[in-house]
Amino acid sequence: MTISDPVSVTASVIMNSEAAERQFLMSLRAPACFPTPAPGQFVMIGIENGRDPLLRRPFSIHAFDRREDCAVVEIMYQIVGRGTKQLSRLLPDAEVSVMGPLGRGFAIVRDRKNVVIIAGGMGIAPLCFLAGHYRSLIRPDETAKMAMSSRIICYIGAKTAASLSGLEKMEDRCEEIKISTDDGSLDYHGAVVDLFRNDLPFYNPDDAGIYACGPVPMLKELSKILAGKGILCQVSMEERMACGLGACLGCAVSLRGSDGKITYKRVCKDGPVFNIQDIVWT
Amino acid sequence: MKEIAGKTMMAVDIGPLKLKNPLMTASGTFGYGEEYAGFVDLSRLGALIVKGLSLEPKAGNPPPRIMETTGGMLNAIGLENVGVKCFIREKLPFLRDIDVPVIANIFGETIEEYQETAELLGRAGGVAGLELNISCPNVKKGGVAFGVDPLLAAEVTRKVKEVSELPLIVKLTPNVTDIALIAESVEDAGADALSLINTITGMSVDVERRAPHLKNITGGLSGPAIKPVALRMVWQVVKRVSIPVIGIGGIVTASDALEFLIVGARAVQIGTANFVNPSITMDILAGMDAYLKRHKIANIGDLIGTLKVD
Repeated sequence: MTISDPVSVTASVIMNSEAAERQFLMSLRAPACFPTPAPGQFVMIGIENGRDPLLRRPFSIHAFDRREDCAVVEIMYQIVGRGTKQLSRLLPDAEVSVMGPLGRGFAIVRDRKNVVIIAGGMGIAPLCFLAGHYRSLIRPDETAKMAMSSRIICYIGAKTAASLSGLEKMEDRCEEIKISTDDGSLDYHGAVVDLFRNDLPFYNPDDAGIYACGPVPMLKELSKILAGKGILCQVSMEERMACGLGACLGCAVSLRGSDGKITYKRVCKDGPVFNIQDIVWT
Repeated sequence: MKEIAGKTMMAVDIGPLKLKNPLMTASGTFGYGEEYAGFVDLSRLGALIVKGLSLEPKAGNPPPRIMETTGGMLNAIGLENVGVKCFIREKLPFLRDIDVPVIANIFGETIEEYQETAELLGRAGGVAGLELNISCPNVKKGGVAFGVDPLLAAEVTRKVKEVSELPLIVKLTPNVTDIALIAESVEDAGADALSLINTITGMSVDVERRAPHLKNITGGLSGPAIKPVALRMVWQVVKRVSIPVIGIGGIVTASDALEFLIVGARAVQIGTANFVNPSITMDILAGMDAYLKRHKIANIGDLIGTLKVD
């Protein structure tokens, strides 16, 4: 998939509603010139004329729809600080500035029998877009040349049953959904990586592809259990950003190169998607 | 009041450098120019200052490197850069094709490193000037060590002047007791211009973890929060030196930029605001033009240093 040059546009809020506790779903009407994003890409959103907070905030693209006269960009976010708090107060028709699509998204691997998605908390945001993309590639007629014959299996972790959002869309897109909650209020009681670990022996490294996004401790744990397994795993990383364009070098992530040396890469430009085994966890 | 029609004269001279307008991009906030090419017509900038360059590439500091604070941001990037040789080979060709003066910001751990970096850039072709970074607060060696000592600041200026014919701007740190003293010392050593201020050292703590937000613990504060400090320092320095002064610090609007010109800066640099809005330089330029027309000022030079004090 080719990466389009990003644009910086003014968009208006179509909907901004609380999907679960402190979690919001926001859809934005952007001008038709907004390029079609790839799953895993993100946008930087700034509240118009705002000086406080100063910087735009990065959000994974949760959904995208091209309509006749506009492009609809959807994000899913949690209130974590001043920026997201202000964003959560915006009403329909409010204007925001949107820059994107930014970064390098997930690589689509067509020969995987099992597309495994592991989402922790808000990590579901880009992965839901990815699942939709894979769904569109899988056609019922398996004789079609480009069609994939994959299954999409999704592991979703949340703190509680009440904090689980975005499930309905995922259910439409995946063959199987497995849920874990930290407090045991729904399905598996424990961490999503533990839930996945139980199934790991059943996946063949040659035909499974894993996509993960979530809090750092979760990804770090996932990295540990996948070490030496030779299984493909792409992970979408998060870091504080200023420019989103690769200029400020603020969003560095530590990677281990093939020579064993640690280098810093930019989450905004070189990522946000990286190979999980390249990341040096701190 | 009737506005003047047509074009205003925005051109300014910074020593031997002739700029089509007084708007520059601040080092470290505009990458190597190419990152912003999709948002800004780079040829409309007065000058483009690239990310600080050292003789050898530098990896920078471990993350987290940035934190937003009220009205500003802290950064401790640690002068990550591709190194001057890679810059000349891979980044400069793109910039050469654009009709904009390219100013290379340089730093080193030793005077010899500053000299060698300056020589390489002088020979490269396509670099219009140098900005000497003696003011980065985020690296242990070099940088600010030169900038806080009037004698060392003068020496590195003199030594770079000896090996380079390029117009030399020296960028000053605000983290000193008397910035004007350093400014005078650098002027005497042969600097063609001064730019100020670099970031103000600061810090921020996560109270939940009782830990600093930045891995480096401290970082440089930039953005609107520092503008009054920057403006005061520019005002103090222009009274003490006769070389041109370039104002930097928290400029987001045309009005911010005009404040610096009124107190006596001949040009300004836009830094953190580029992160807020990638095409903000063009908005500021348009706003400055509108101001000149509204005040019937035909030449921007007539505005510089016109602060009225009773």
